[in-house]
Amino acid sequence: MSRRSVLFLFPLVCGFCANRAPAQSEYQLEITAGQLFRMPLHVYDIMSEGLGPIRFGGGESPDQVLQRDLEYSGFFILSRGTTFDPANPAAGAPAGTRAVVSAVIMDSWGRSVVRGTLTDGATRSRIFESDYPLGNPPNRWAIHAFADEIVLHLTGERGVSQTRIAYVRDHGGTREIHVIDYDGANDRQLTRLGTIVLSPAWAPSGDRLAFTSFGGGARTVVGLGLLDGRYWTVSPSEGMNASPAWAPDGRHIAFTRSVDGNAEIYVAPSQGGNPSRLTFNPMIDTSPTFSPDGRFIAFTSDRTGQPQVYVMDREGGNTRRITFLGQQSDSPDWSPEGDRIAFVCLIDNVFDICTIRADGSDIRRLTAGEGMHENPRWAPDGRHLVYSKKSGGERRIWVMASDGSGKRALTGGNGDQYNPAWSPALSQ
Amino acid sequence: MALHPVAVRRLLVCLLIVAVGVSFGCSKKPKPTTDVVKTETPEPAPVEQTPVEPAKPAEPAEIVLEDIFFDYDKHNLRDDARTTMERNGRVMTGNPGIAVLLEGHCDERGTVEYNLALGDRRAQSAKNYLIQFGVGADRISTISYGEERPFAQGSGESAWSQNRRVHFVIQK
Repeated sequence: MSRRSVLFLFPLVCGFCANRAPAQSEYQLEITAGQLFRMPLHVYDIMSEGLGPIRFGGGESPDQVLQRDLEYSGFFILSRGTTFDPANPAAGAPAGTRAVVSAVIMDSWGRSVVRGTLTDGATRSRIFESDYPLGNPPNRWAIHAFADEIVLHLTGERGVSQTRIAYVRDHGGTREIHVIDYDGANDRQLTRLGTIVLSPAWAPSGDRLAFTSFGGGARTVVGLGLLDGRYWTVSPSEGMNASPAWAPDGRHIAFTRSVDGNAEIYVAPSQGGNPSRLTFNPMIDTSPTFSPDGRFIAFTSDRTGQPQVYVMDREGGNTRRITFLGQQSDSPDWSPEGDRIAFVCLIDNVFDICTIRADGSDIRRLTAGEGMHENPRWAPDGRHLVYSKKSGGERRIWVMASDGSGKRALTGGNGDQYNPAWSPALSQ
Repeated sequence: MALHPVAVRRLLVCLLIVAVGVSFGCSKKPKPTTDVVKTETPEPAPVEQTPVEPAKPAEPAEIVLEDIFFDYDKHNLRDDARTTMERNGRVMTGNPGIAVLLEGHCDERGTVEYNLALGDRRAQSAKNYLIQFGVGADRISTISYGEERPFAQGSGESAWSQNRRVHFVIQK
């Protein structure tokens, strides 16, 4: 991180804190949709040097993808310029513009690249200039890489443009795992198992998934290598095994296992091996999620008669309840920063998405109104959440900022779409 | 309007059914609340000495195990479920040659993972009852489908109450 960006982080962090700080009582559950501090960014139309207009699959232009990436990060207020003048890079930019974004699509040593430039709005000095291979046919990943580098240089944080979301789609009885880009583009079917698969979970390295499979009449937690397409068995195959969660070191997977009608949480080596049992309670224990430091596991238990969220040590002891809503709380997911846990909160008989501090304080409700909201999962930036929503017809995959703003659907079409999981930052 | 392949297939099936003259509603699946298996009764050996009347082959007996239903987020057996389970238990003890798979199901409310565990508990409740009734545990297996195999489509208590169930699949 450059010294400049450290200095700039000061107002940014304060804006963030101001949004998060107000103390709320535990049961004060109005919708929160605060305004984060946003820095002014001037974005010029991308020029094409002799390559003609570029269109990605789906018909979007590089400009549209870049603008959405930058807006979606939540860090910027965008203004637009048409023709970039290298001699006067900030010409036409509004007063107070933090930085100027410009790019040229050009041929460089026989391959098409996006040459992206970020210029300081005040000093007009170049912050960085990089080439991103465009590929043939043109791949929007080049634009995503440029957008994330802009975010990194200006904020010191990683963007989420180079991430994907795995989810489950109903194929008329069977379920298969699909993967989309973070913005909903490039939907592709990942598994073709012809059975029920559920609860995909990304390895921290981003090159493997674990999920629940009903293949062969069993209910097994299996792993899938995304580079080699190889499947392996994580859990025993007898009994019910489901709901996997990777430990932050990638070497262990916690999951739910039941051999006698009593679901308990176990942990096993991620490559498979003897599971060790972490919970000992006659009621349901399920939906584990690790804290980012790997020291704690949050999970759902109905030991008081209805599902609530609990936290225990990584080895299983020292269990404490953290949600005390009148109705159910379920499906926890620990934020990448470790400060908050997202979960499904049942309020007035409506399933909504809430977040709460890991110590059980400062609960916030992010959705309300019609529809059934389930399965919140954090983006790796800790500033966005993906979840499923059913209102009327099929369940669909939605995203929102972690303050509840900017909700939009990413998927559509026939068959329920649910059980989303957000990948870590990916390289391709 | 472009028709989805599944819709086209459904339409064709409906047309076929209409053509055959069967009066099933096409919009709803028929209601498989029971699992029925026909058992073949062995033909009586011919009796030569008393040729009074030719012996009629007996009607194949039906083995029926009825679904049981649960309250929301509950796995304990309601009174109506106990009544049903008593009948199911008699069927199981009276037909020692059959085994049964107990499928635990939930309505769509609650999360996928929690409902898998809840369906598991419901199947286990039914299994425990049958064991207490005297059915050997080796004749009973369980599986939870959670909310993945709803019996009735749609939202609302009328659909949900049918989906919170244990379904019995007879395995010979």
